Amino acid sequence: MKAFTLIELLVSTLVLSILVAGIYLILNSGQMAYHTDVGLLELKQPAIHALDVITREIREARGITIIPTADANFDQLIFNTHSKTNVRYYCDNIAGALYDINQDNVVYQLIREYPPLTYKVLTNNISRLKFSQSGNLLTIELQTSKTAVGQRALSFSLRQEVRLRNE
Amino acid sequence: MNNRGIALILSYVVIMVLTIFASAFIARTVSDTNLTARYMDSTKAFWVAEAGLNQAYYNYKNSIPQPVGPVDFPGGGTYTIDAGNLLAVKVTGIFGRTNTQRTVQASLVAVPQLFKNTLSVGGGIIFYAPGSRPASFKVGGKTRISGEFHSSGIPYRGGQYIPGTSWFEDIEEGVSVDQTTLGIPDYNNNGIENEYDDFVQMGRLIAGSYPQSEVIYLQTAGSVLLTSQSDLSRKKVVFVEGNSESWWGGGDIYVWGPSLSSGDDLTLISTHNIVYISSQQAAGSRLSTISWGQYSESTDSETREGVIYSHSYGYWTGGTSPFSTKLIKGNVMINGDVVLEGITNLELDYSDRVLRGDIPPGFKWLFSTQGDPKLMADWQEGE
Repeated sequence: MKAFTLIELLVSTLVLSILVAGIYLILNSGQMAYHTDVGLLELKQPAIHALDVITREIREARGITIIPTADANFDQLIFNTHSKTNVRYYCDNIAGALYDINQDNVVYQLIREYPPLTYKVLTNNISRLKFSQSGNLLTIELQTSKTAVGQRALSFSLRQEVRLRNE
Repeated sequence: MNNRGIALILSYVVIMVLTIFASAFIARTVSDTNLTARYMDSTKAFWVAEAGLNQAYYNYKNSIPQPVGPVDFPGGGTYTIDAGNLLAVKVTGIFGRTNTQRTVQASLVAVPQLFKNTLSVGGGIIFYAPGSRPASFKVGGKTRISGEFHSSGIPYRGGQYIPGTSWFEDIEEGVSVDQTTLGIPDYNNNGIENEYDDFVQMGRLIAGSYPQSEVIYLQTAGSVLLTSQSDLSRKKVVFVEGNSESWWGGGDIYVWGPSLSSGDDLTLISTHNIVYISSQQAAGSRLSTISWGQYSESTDSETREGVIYSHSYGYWTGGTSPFSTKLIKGNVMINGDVVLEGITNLELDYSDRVLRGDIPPGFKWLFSTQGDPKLMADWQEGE
């Protein structure tokens, strides 16, 4: 029996390390893709749902007031419907201490306030909520963003035009 | 020890775990698919309902009867129109194999706020009692006038003064004119509202919007007298068009004893004056008037229902008996002044029939200055 030569050992180690590195890369990108997709899903689903809720209510709104806030990314919307007065939509951090995964950014929530002092959180991770009205057409722009595992910044934007039936 | 059976048990365990994973995955996928399908159907049902609502509005504007039962929508799905109440027409859309329903509702006609009042007067009211016998004027519900209410009488029998008694449940004077009057929309399309010609065009449009069997349309330089001989059964509109706006242009309607049976809903339209003396109105019938000129009425004993609109003045005077009292239930809208004179006993009472969507024939043509008739009002979703 002859033993392996040094060269043979070195070559086999090299081949093995290339293989392991390849496998690691594949696994790692898979893992990243998984986190990104889950993160996006967590951003998209609540945002779509929230926009759906707002749209349904705004279709029957009248007397719409859009109030800009100190933060240029956020507007406040106040309106009436035939049975409700002063329905409000705005972004805030009512939980008080809600931070993103890196603990450095405050997470804003989209809030519906009606009747006054009764709050309903429609979605988290809001980074932009703008309204604009021209005639009986109201445009809603909504953006949600967050940092996924692995420091990846994710964001998702939605834009909806609603024809106001009662204006 | 004999370990030979372990392979079987191990493979069972592995297969079981795999089966659980697989079935959970399948269940999730199926429920996701169902949720998506439901969401899609719901969205489509909403737009089918919207389409149905627009169809209902089109039907209403063009006097086409509303369809009964579900209507197939060309792009799939069905909608059902419930037009029992014009002010809250409900349309339910159904779409897809999930049979998801969405309902939208709207008012097909914007009824002017004036119909919340019993009496709306663009000018003032002068109640001029003769003093020989008590006269009375009583209005239940809201009275809104742009001018003022004046009551005066003549001294009688050596200075004895008997003023008329008046009573208003809720009166406001000096109200802005747009709260007390209805204008005539620009039906001749010359950019100016409230013209005589707009009124004539409106009358023709109204007369043309009903089947011939329900309309009497006359052009005359004289007057039309409706008597007990007049056959008004099943009629909705009587439109009398004079030759011109001047007082000799004709087009007056005299109402002197025609009879209406229960359920009749008749509107008289005149390009000049309407003079109401009497009619035989069965309970549950309604006689309304639209006149460019003055509306005048004697206060003979009678109880009737109707909406009175005059673009000009309103004039009530004593009847053949000083003890008779007239009670009109409905809405009275006079763009100019109202004068009550002689031994008048007039009582007006509110009816919310119009606000509930039961609009007298022809009146929806008057509504368009307040609230665009091309738009539906009070749109809302859900029940």
